Amino acid sequence: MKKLILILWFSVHLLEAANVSGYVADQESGETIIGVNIMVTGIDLGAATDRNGFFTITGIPAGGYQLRFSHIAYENQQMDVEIAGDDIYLATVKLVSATIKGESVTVTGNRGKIIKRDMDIASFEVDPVVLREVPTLGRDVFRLVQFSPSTTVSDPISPLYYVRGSDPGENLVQLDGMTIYNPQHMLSLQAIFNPYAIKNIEMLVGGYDAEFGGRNSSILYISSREGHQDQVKGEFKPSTSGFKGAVEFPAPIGGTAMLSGRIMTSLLNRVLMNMPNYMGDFNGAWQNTIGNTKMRLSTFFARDYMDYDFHRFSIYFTQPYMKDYSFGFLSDATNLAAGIKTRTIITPSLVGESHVYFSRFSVENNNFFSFSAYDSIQDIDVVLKYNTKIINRISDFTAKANLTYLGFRNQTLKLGIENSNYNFYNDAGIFSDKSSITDVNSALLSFYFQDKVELGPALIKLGFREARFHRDSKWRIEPRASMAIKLGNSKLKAAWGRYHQFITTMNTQDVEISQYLDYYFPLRNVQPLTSIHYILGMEGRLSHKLDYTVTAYYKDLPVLYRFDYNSNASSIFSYGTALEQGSGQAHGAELMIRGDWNRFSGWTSYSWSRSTRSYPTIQNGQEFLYDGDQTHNLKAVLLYKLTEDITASSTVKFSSGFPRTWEIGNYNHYTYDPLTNTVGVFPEPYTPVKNNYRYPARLELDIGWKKKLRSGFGYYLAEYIGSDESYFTLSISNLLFLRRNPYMYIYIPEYGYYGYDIAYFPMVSAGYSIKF
Amino acid sequence: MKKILILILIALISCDLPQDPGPMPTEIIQSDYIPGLNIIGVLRNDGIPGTSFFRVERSWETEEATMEFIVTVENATVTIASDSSIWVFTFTIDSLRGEIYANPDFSPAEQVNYQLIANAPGLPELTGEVIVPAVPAVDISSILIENNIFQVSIAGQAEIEMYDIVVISDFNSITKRYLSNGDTLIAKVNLSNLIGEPMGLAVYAYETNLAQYQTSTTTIKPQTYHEAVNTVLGGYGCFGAVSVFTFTIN
Repeated sequence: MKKLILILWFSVHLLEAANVSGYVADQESGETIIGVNIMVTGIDLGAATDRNGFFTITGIPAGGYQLRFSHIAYENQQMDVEIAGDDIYLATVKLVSATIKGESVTVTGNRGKIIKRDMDIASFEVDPVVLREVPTLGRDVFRLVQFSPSTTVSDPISPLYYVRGSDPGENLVQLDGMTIYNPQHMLSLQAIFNPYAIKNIEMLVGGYDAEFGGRNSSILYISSREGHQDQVKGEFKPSTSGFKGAVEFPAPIGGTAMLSGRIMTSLLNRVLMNMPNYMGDFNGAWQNTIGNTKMRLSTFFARDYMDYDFHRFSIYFTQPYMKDYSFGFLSDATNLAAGIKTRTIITPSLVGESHVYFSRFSVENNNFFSFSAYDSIQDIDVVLKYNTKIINRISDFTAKANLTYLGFRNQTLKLGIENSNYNFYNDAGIFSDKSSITDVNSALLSFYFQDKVELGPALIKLGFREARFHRDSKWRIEPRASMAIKLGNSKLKAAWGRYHQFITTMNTQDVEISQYLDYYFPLRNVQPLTSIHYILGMEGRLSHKLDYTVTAYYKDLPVLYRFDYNSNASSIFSYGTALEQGSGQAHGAELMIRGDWNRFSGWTSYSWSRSTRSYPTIQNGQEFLYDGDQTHNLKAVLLYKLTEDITASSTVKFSSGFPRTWEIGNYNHYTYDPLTNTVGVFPEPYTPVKNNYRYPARLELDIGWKKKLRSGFGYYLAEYIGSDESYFTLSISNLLFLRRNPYMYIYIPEYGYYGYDIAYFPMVSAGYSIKF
Repeated sequence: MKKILILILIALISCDLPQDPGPMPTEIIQSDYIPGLNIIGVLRNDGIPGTSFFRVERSWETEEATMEFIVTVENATVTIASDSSIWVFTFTIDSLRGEIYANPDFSPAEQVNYQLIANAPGLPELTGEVIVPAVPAVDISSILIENNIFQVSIAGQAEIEMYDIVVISDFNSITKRYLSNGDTLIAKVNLSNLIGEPMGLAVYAYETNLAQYQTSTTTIKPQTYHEAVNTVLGGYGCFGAVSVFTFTIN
């Protein structure tokens, strides 16, 4: 009854109500703050700052109010406002950083407790402070993402991840709104984002709004730091394998700027095995505010180079029975992105955004494994020449703009348009003498509309997205709807949406030794990848410091594609025609608890899921388990505050094994040489059923330790160079090394199958970092 | 202390030492091994009797594999038949091709359909069918070597699926593979890696079976799904044909 009266009261006062909006920034650095709660005292209205540090509270009735700004890492602040019918734009509200014991740890635990935040139905948001506080995460965004309840990883030596049973190629990764293709370093299998430069990490794992398009499974949105308005601040970490660091400073031409970089190499491989390798990534950002317009220029560059030929290693191990052999890979990948983004408060009720960027990824990836030996028992040459050569390039020039209108009091309207011009270049050859080249241009034009309606305790979002890929194809509509209803300290959430993706990726998992890259290919003149999400969830508080989220989902995947590498020669030569259409589905349930409890903080999650696929040429269209299917997943990231200066941490993953195709028989595959009219043979396993076995459950436990230095060489070195703080970190991974997590089985004659793990012993890593 | 000791004991009992095979996967879908003959048969239309041959083996279960196990089948009966004749291929040890089945008198006729029947004790009967392609219609007057590119024109023939163009010197050879779409092919071979002068040209024309088998992919990665590419029934492997054109370059 009380709520009904409240709704009626709101309805009566809507006509004379007004909106209050503005940015919230750090007083010292000037950097905008994400996740600040703004409550209007006396009435049940409020908002939280978005990824731009911007907030809007809509429909405040006329009268005098106090706005209360709160954030776990900042001092609370109040501000009086007088609502008289006109909308109010507060420009930038500045908060003073709070000095609290264990600040980082507390932030880690409390990040989920943003009660008024207009969060999407299914999101996983983490403060990057976690990357710094938990050494076992290796300061890697992708390792962190793997601790979302929605992700599974089916190849432990690949950085690619599956979100709720979809392909890795259906995950979109954006840095400051720019799409970054294949955002992983091949050498370290880590993300190419420097953790020192990251301000916020947000992952939408389904059911997302109409403003997001182009990918069907997840959006990983990474915001980089903005710079410092008064001083030079930064952090760097020298090590034997390279250098990592970032610096923020006031830009000489006005505004603030940030530069960051990492250069790494494996000296062991370079010196011992004569294998040149290096990888690096560099970020640059400059931003300024001119009037009511915030402008941001972002640049990004990453390069990986590896020339690994294990034949060079043969100086240590001779193979006299081999006539000839070589094994290795040559990879050369480059990522480049640059863009300029503006955000203008046109009127307090109208916000305009524009973004123009260019993003390019190119790779030449050669795997080769060949040997020949004479089999004296069968009197024949055993010959294998196994080459994969894939040159892939995608260029993306995107321009997008949107308008947000807040003039209808309890509604927020958003209208946007996006145009992406792509160039795809592929030269793919599975075996050296077969290759196909495609070089095509395509344009994706899309626009979207979304209406967010607030009705008392209910928030409803209705929208659609309409897109056309390539000029000749038809327009395709993607309706989206979501709602959240506040029930006491909890929220009931539901979402439904249709998603189209016009770019597919080649799944080379069954062909390449390890698939660590997506190879992009346009879906022209065929149906786009399609995914329909149904999500129902509940979130709320278990106690003052503990939050929970429960989500159930079903994904219908009516249009999927795979590359049929086993098709006939004509398809191989023109692999665009080797696309095979199939379908699938995924469903599951997830539970996550996060917050802090005594000296503990962090999160733990359990998920149950099942994902299947069906393709006409695999087992005559019968359904089979998807490669990324892991039924049970129990994960935890926990921090324990030992003392004011020491934080212990641990990451745990206990998950079902992934499905794989266990060979039931073998036969020799023949290679015919017409010049000599001879054949060579190579044994090949065969199985008529895909994913007929499930690997054993995987258990991984890593621990870490971080200490703020107060004495010793590290402390005095930091003090000598004028830094503020220095830290020592220690991590021990694979602590349960006595329990093997096989990722591949190899049959050894007269022994049987042997399960290979990626590590047989604990790995200890120590580090030192300086913050200034 | 007692609890810690119990935990340590459990950890030691359940551990997988490096020399142990480790935990094994569990079967979730039953899939049975089907034994069969595994064959490669190439009917070679080069005008020389006896160059066509078969290699006959059997498939095997993984656990059968020892350091000295043999998969060659020596007691198979291999016959091919056209509308008018039947030829029997017998087991022989060839100095070049090892243990094969051959018939020294057999020379395939182009554009003739041949049916294969292979039998071996305890294994299902294997059958196959192939039409021998015509000798490639190479226009030798079109041969052109310019800027290290060898160029030749080949008239299209419907039953040819794929060509291998081989330029040969005294020291090595360069091969370029082309798919045929039935139209005249202008083949170009980059000679930059050829050691010495081009001395000969060989053009091999494959029909569908051998072209498909030759270009099918294999995998070296264990526990990956791989569709079997076979052009025979009742077993594994390929029964195909190739026609040969050779030419000496002055």
